Amino acid sequence: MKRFKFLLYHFKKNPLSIAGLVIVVVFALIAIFAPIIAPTPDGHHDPYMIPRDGYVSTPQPPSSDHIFGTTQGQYDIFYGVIWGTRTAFQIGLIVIAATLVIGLVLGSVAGYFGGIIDEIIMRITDIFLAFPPLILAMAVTIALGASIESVMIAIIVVTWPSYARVIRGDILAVREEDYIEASRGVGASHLWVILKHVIPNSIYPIFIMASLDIGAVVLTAAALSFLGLGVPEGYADWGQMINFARNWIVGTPTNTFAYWFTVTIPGLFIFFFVMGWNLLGDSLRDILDPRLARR
Amino acid sequence: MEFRSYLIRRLLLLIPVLFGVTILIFGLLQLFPAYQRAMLYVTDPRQLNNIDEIIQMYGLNEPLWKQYFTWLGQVFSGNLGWSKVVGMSVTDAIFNFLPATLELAIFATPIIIIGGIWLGTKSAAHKDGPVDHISRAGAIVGWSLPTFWFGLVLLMIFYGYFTGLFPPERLSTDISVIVHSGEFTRYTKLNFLDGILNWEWSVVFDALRHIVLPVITLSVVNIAFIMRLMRSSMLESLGRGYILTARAKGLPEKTVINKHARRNAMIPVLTVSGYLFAAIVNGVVITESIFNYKGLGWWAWRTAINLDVSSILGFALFSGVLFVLTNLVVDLLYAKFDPRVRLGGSIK
Amino acid sequence: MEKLVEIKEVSVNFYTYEGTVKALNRLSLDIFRGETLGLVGETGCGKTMTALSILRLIMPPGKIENGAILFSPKGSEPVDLLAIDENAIRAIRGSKISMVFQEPGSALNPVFTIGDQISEVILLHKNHEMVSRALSTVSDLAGTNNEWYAPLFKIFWNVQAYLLSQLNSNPQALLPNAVSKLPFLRRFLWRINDEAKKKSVSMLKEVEIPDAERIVNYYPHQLSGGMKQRAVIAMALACSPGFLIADEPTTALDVTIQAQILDLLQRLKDEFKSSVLYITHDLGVAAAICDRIGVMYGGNIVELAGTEEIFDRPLHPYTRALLAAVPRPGEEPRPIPGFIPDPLSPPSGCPFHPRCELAREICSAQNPVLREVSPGHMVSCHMVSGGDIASSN
Repeated sequence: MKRFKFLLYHFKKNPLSIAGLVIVVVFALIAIFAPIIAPTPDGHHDPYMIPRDGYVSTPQPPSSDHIFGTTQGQYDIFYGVIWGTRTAFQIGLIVIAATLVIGLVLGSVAGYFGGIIDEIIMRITDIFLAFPPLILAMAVTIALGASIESVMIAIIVVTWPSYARVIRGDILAVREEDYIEASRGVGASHLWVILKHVIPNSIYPIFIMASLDIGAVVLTAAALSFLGLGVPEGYADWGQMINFARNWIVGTPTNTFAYWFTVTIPGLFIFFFVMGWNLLGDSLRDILDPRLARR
Repeated sequence: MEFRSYLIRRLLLLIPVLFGVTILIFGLLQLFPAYQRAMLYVTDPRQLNNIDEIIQMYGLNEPLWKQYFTWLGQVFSGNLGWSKVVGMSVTDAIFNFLPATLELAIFATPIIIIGGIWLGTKSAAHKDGPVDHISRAGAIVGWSLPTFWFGLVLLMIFYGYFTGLFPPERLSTDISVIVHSGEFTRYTKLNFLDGILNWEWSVVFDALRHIVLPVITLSVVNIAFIMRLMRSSMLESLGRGYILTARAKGLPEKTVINKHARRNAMIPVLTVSGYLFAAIVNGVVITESIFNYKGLGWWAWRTAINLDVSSILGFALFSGVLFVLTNLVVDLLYAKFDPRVRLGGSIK
Repeated sequence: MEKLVEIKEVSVNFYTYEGTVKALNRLSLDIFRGETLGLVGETGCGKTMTALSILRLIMPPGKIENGAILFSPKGSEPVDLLAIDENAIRAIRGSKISMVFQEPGSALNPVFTIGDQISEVILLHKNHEMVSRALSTVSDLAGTNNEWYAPLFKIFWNVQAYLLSQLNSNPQALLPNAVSKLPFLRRFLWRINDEAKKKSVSMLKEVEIPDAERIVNYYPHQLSGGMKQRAVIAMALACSPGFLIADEPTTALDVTIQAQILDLLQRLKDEFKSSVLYITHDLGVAAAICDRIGVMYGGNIVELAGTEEIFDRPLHPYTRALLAAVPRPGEEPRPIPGFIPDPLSPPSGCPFHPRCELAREICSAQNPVLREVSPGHMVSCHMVSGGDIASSN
């Protein structure tokens, strides 16, 4: 409780962290109320597939029917960015949750038991960390076949090792502390010690850190979709909408910015989403743990 | 002496990691059907008609461990398979596309490192002043910018609005003709350098014109990354006792910051330069795909969307090995930079 | 006696998020030429702040609010250290006033050798001397060396001698200064650094470091704590400052090492004819080396007198409590009741009154001033009058 108050005090002091919080909350509201903000047209089966208005290639500027206009293939931009917010949260939350579970299990096992088990798990993380993340993610995505699930698995594959390492480090630090010795002394089992003492003491900051990585995860996912490796065509996803726009950056001879909306609007959504998390993360990292701030 | 044993330990650690890297790649490979895997053993376009023979020949239906060693043997003999997207072997493709990416990296890397360190130092030296606030805000913006979007916006402005000011691709068509003509010798395949060596300034100018936007795109995010790191590292360093000592000696503030604080602050920054390498490789794929800049990243992107298994895995293997070696160099540099590591524990 | 440093009503505030901390509260203190003045007190009483404000090294959020610090080095007019510009104070730091810090481990920069760090201060303040030494070395060499290889080197020596003589007659001379900034060419001036290094070695010998020629190339982490502190002292004395501030220089060291360092400081003080401001929380150490002792509490001096006087006839209740708290064989140490005041909300009146046995109404209303109660003995306490403390009736 005292820790929470301390956090709150420093948090309130910094206007940037409040800006971050506001941005994230707004996006959360958009995601929750997506069906009301951008209702799915009747007869449209999958709400995550963007409805299209015809099959003409050339984007159409904003109008009363399509307030942000339509992008290549007459996909409605407004519908796409609103439901894309849901996709973003979906990817971010699932990936972070899975990463945490894997990192937690392997990291705490390695840190707690040490010795050969630790050595093996750490060498495995070395191997996964031996690749530039995007390259490995690309390889995994195409190996699994393009779908939103593959994207999520690919990002989990590239992010879990660093979590496992941080958690292992923290477990090692906590393990040295006296009360662990004490509870071992009274005959507590390994699992009991991990669950009851080690995890609550070292994991709490990592949970917050992890949730703040949602921004980075969404950015990677968007990059994959932008490269054309992620979601199926027409899926409400910001990265893909920017991919649609890449052929329309040069306007017509009379108006060089004729199709500005196709690239700008989804881009701003990603940008603000990521920035919201980064602002929030930046200040919380500084407050919680200066050591993690450098990661 | 301590340094030598450190070096040996570090080199020995390399073996299991490199071994693991090949296993991981091989594991990914198993997710593909045999006929796609067969592409890894193709060395000549004529073989493409006899995929079944290749499957037989390389035992692609045999137990995994057997396949693994067959494949590893191929890798060691430099054969990474056939890249159907560009119609050459993967090894050739890597060597063919490497110079373009190298050209990009040669410009971007110093900008990222020097820019990031400079901004981070300035920001920390003027903590909570206007310089600090502006560069921190800039860093947060830069850090949050989706590279792929930023590149497109740059193109929209500098290629669309200012018609053709900084065009995509590597060279303009007319200049490309010069470069590929008989009179022009491609010593290094780095266009701007070859331009200088051939005394053909139009080539140099054109190469630079094409490289401006990719370099900016690649740099912005990474400068923000280095700057944030440098700033926090500098602040930590500035709080240390030796800074007070340096000031008490009467040294000018500039020397205190640029010599005493920065030299120490660089050490943690150096340890992440391995990460910087990975970030640049990531950025290269996105940047080159945006600007249609035909380097390794562009090739990786084309092969990925065309499900060119042998190429993408070959590239992953190549970049993985390169990354491992980079980290080795970084660790050794780190030891060089920090006498506490270089000279081992205390002698007393 | 002649005053070397005269601190007049200096206040230092720290502006933190929680509020303003008064680190020094109108502190006045004189330091005489040639003496060792001890400052004692508990943690946070403002000892280090006093030292740092003399060198003007208080860093934000701290700020020196008002007052003056007059510094009168031998043979020159007094200057107000708080009023002179940044360049002038820098010229004084490390050359006329230098400081030794508590933690030798963190006071030395881990990435430079001991020699580099000592040379740095020499090259900064004694550049001209090093240049002329280098010049005479190289002229000697050019003039007297008649070995067979001499003609080969002569041209180099002549270039060096020319550059050095230019620099010797005018430190701002264009050519040598330009050369010193160019890679490779700057090696023509290596003898200046070499002279500084020789001087560093002699300083290391001065602080009794064995094998100084080797140690000069060591990095701090290769030395033990006591050796590091010796190196720091060598660095502080490299420019023979008239005034040395030692901020708990032995606190981080073992007792045996502590005694050696104290001996060393005593000897060097006499040798370099310096004055010393010695900050410690250890009354025993202060008694051993100080001529006078000032006791600090709550950002100000509460009692100031000669060492014997303080121990024989302590007047301020805090000084008495402090002395009683020192453990002695056969006696129970008596801890001082209560706690150090919260710096954010110091008590009204005399800062010590909440912990004082003798406190009266006036003590919480009015802050007593430091006044001389007998020759050379200053106390700030309402309860002290006529050179004696009021009895507790």
